[in-house]
Amino acid sequence: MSASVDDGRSRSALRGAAQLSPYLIGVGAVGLALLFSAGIGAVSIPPLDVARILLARGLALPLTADWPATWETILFSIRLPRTALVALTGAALAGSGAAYQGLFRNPLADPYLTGIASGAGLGAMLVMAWRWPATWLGLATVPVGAFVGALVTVALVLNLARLGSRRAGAGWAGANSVTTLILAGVAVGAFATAVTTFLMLRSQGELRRAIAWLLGGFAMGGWGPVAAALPYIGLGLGVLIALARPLNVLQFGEEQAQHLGLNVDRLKLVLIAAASLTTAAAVAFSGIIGFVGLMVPHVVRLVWGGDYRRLLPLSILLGAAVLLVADVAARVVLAPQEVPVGVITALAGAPFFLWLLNRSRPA
Amino acid sequence: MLTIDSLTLAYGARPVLRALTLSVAAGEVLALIGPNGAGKSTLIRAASGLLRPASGAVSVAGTPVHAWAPETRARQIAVVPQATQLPGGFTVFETVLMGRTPYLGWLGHESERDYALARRALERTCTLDLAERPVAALSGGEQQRVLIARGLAQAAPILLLDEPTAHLDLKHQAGTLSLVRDLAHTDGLAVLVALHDLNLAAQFADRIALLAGGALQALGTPTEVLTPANLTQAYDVPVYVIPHPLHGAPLVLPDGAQARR
Repeated sequence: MSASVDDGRSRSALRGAAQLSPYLIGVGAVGLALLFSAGIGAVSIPPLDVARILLARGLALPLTADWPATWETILFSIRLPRTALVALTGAALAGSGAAYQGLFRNPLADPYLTGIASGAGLGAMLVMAWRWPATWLGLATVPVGAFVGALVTVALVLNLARLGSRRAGAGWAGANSVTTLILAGVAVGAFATAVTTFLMLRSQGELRRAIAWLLGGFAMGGWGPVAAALPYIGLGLGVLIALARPLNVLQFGEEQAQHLGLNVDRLKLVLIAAASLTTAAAVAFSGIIGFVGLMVPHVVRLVWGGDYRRLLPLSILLGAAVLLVADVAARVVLAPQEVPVGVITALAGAPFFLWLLNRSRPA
Repeated sequence: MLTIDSLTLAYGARPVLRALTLSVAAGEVLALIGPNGAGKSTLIRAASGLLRPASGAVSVAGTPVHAWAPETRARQIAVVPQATQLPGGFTVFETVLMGRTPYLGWLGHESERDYALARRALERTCTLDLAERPVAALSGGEQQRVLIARGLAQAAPILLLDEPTAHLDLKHQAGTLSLVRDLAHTDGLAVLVALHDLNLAAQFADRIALLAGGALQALGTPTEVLTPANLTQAYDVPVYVIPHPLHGAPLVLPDGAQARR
């Protein structure tokens, strides 16, 4: 018998020490990726100098400014806003991906494969097409449209999946069977993408430019998008992290979770809302980027286990780091031309998905 | 403790339980037996408050259980499921600690008292030495004991078990049920357990309820219920009942030659 079970406090202290290192790895990875991401571009700034400029200007450390003054301008008005938006997006996608996987108890659930990202894209698109005011009661309306689009898609996909499983004779127990959910998600996602494309082709001017970022990446400039996305993503991820313990209980199945005293219907509703809000904000400001929400939580689960109290924060950290690296790759492979970051994540993610599909098939 | 009063329940138009009345007292093991489809699992689910009865009620201390909030229910009734397909990623200790969920709600954190109660549940079920092992990697018998420990951590006076021995070998069947009997006789829990195996029911239950076609066909001590007449009628196969050579409990033997018809 291990001594750590003897008393709660020594146990949590021990575990706390043992669990510090994954967070250090996560924070370290984000930091490094951030320095490289901010340094790369038409004017190349060495990562060390990026760090020094950040320390000097951000934390007001007394460092001699032996770097060109233009570097500061480039960093603070061009590079860092983009880097911050990429990091936020990666965090949002990986965090909501982890939540969807736990919620549906389906290893393949991810904002992209379940069609939720495409639905959010269509919602954002409709708001822009109808020329709604950009803000309403101080909230940016595009993410709100994306949120509604995401919620409608979740409801549609869940019902289709349930219908499909029942037809196949799996009954209620198999309502979220691994592949039907993804099939329903792919169908609904393809439909949403088709409508988005149609609207894009018949649009002109302003909207056409707006859609370019929806489909492709981080071309929007300045701190505006970061400030607009942060409250939504912060709120969504905050709720998910706060509900990590009930999400753990849910891993034993809905019936057992009910027996253990959880109001499962209400819990699922809150989790879906939080994960969809997070996804929607990421899509509204960064476009539709696939597979980050699938890959990152999986790797975290393989390395550090399936406890959501660990899994969620670590996925969020590593999601930010991974998308920063993917974004660096997107900017350098065809430099000076920029590849949409979704291309990079799909190049790595699609084979990963096939491997996972093969693994999760019942023997 | 747990009272089931003329309970009628239907899935859609198909009645599954008909006007069923029985009660489980603190300190006793009541075994539910009956052929496949007799309504054993449905009765367990209804008793746990998950199913809303068409008429009649399941009540604890005079209050119908399906009307309670989930956490109130979970403080009164612990349900031990069959040990199949437990998720990866959790240790035995973490799994048992989840028994404290009805006292924590969505946002609560486990206190030292919760840790102590989980540890006591592990001790009571002889699973303390498994505490740090991943629950998904245990054998079926060990998993079943861990799930019973989780039920104990709920500190509920009523324990419901749905075929806890279904996937276990002979030794673990006897081990699990003697633990369950101990929990009733020593710890004073009211235990309702659905069992497939009549001989295990005969050996470990204080009373037996025989269900057939969703109705109660017989209720009483093992010797009263496990008679050739009752069983032949309920299971539609001729059976013999002889006394167990060691302790005299009824031993049920189906007539193999006739059963094939």
